[in-house]
Amino acid sequence: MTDISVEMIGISKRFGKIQALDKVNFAAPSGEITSVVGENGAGKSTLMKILYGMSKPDTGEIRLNGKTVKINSTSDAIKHGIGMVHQHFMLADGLTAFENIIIGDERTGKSGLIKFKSLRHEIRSLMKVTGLEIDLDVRTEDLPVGVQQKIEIIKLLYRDSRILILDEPTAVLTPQEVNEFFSSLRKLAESGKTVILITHKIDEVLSVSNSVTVLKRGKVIASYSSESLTRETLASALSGEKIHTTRLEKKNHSCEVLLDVKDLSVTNDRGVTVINGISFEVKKGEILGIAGVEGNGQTELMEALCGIRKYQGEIKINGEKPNTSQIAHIPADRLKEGIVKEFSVEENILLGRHRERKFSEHYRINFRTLRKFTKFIIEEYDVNPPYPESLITGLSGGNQQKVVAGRELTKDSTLIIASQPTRGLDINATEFIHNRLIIEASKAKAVIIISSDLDELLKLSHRIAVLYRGSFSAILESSETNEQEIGLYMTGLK
Amino acid sequence: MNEILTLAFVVQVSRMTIPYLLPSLGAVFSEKGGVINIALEGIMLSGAFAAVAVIHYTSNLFLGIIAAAFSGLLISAVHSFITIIARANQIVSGIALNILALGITKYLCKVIFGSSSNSERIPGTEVLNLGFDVFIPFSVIILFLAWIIIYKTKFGLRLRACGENPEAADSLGVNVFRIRFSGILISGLLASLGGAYLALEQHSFTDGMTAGRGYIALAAMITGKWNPLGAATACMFFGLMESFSLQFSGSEIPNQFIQMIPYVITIIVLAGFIGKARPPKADGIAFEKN
Repeated sequence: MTDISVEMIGISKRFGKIQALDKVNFAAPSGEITSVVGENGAGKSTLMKILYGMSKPDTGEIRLNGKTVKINSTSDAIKHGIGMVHQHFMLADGLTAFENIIIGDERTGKSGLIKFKSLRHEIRSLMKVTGLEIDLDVRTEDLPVGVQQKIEIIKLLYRDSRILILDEPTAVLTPQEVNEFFSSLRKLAESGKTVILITHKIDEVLSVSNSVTVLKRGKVIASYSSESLTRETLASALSGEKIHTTRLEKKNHSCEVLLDVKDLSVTNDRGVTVINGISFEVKKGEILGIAGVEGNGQTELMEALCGIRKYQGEIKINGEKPNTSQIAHIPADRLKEGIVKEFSVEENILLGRHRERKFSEHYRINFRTLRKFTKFIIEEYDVNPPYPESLITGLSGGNQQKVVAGRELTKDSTLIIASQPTRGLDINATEFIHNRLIIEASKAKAVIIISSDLDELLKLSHRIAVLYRGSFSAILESSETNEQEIGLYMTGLK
Repeated sequence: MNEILTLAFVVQVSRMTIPYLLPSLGAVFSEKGGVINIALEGIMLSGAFAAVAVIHYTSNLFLGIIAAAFSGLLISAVHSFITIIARANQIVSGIALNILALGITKYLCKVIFGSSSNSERIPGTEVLNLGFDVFIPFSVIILFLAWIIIYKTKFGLRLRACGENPEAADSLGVNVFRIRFSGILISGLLASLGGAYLALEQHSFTDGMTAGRGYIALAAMITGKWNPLGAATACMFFGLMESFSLQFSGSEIPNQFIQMIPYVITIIVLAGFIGKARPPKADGIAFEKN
């Protein structure tokens, strides 16, 4: 098989109201590593899913070595020599590494039985050539993530994939594993493979890729070759250079410490330490913004603060161990953690507040108070359509977010943690939630906002802490900083 | 105790084992692919009835077994449709089909034989005049075939992949729907043959004659850790228990005590006291292609 270069021309894709991809042009030459970078929701995964046949574009064409091809399914993609390592590994856990490698491309003898011996031999020699050595007879669930990833890559090589798409491949790896992984990637590219790397980590882009395509909100905003690429240009392309919106009047906060965090360390689901001994405090009435490229420990930090993830170190509210009723939490993933889709608006309002006296008395729910309270929130937060009994899924994302915000911000809390509070909202709803957060802070509560929107952080917070690889690379006064500076800290440049 | 070890006793245990073994092997195929088939009980029952009814009319043993197989395929096809295409709850579908089979067989029994409780007597495998029970070597062959298919063939590997992680199988171009469908059909086929054998042994159909054997077959599959050979071992043990319960009927050990042993063992296995029973990871979860 020859080496294959990829071109994607004028690719557009809509999901409902959202234009996920807008006339995107993308090229990946053979023998090179091409990176696709951008924030979550920028459309990079969608673009790659189209290349791998998992999703069909509305318009646009795909060319392999200059020839237009139709890719309607993953089997089509595999036939064209395209292989993908998904962000969440696609391994059948109870099966051995060997079995996982051959699924879907089992070669059988005349008897109908799989030719175990010759296949094993073939995979062994493949491992030797690429240096990706693994034990073939272990169940994949018993293997560490780094090895599982090797299996995924061998899977592609076994199918003789010429184009390797890797979606956030380093998210689950330790720094040592990352280095090893990159050196195998370089080897593969040198052997003529087309390697496409989806990532939002700038270090990775700079250290391995030959060229970079930057996506933002479904559009290509820049393409660079590695010679012309510096950390600064990439950082500014990623953070964007938007005109500042008006800064709201921020009330001065008191000097009294409300939240005190000392030497906090948190591990992720895979057991990798992602928050590395950070300490900070938030004062009464203060809004602390947390910036950072996604995947630098934000989720785990937020979960530890909310008391839903184990941690080492100390978290204290007003000098005492926090209990969850003190904390109001607007989660980043509304559908997963903020609401129950099958419930009505008022039932969703009750979630997590069902123990409050006014809603429950004598072992039963006081629906009359709940209805009244829901109507109050609907009015205060301008929820539309204004019916407490309608299903929450009948509301737009923005209105759902208002319901969640209404529920959380009316809670009798001392600490408010808001993750991506305005993601996907229009200007009015965004403005509204911003105002609410400022009002709540002025009630001598502490507010933490985790956001990928730097405008939002500059506008709302008193101080901005920048998370980089699980530590704060800086804690800045937001009146004395700007997006460019934050961008540099986010990428570890400063 | 000497009489226990005679050839006659071995044959008796085998005969008790077969109505567990065939559906249990079927269950392995269904669940390895990720679909729980609790409808085995109803499938066995309908297999038993179909065999008896067709043999009654045609006096042909072979046609009776074909009819049983056909009924098993039909019910499992319905189960496949409900669980794979409509993605409904697999347990609920299975229970509904069991109740349906119980009712339909009863009704048809009344229509054909004039009694809802039992059929007329039909000839059994003895008419073949082979001098041995043909189902015994047949079942042994099926057992080893099942093992080879599941662990050594392309279909088996894909089946197991679908039961562990259907998304992974799908991403590699495997048609998850087709594979799971095949697994359920095989389970229906084997369970109905088990039911037919039961009816041939007893020379008639009686209302609810499977008496929970489909469930015990599932229990055997769990005890055998979703492995055909393990399931067979468990079935043999359960068959042995049943033989004992016949042997000891009338003695001081209560019959019911021996009959309950399979269930007690299943609970112990499920609770993790005898090694860890690890079901296929996606067992019981519908697959949705995005």
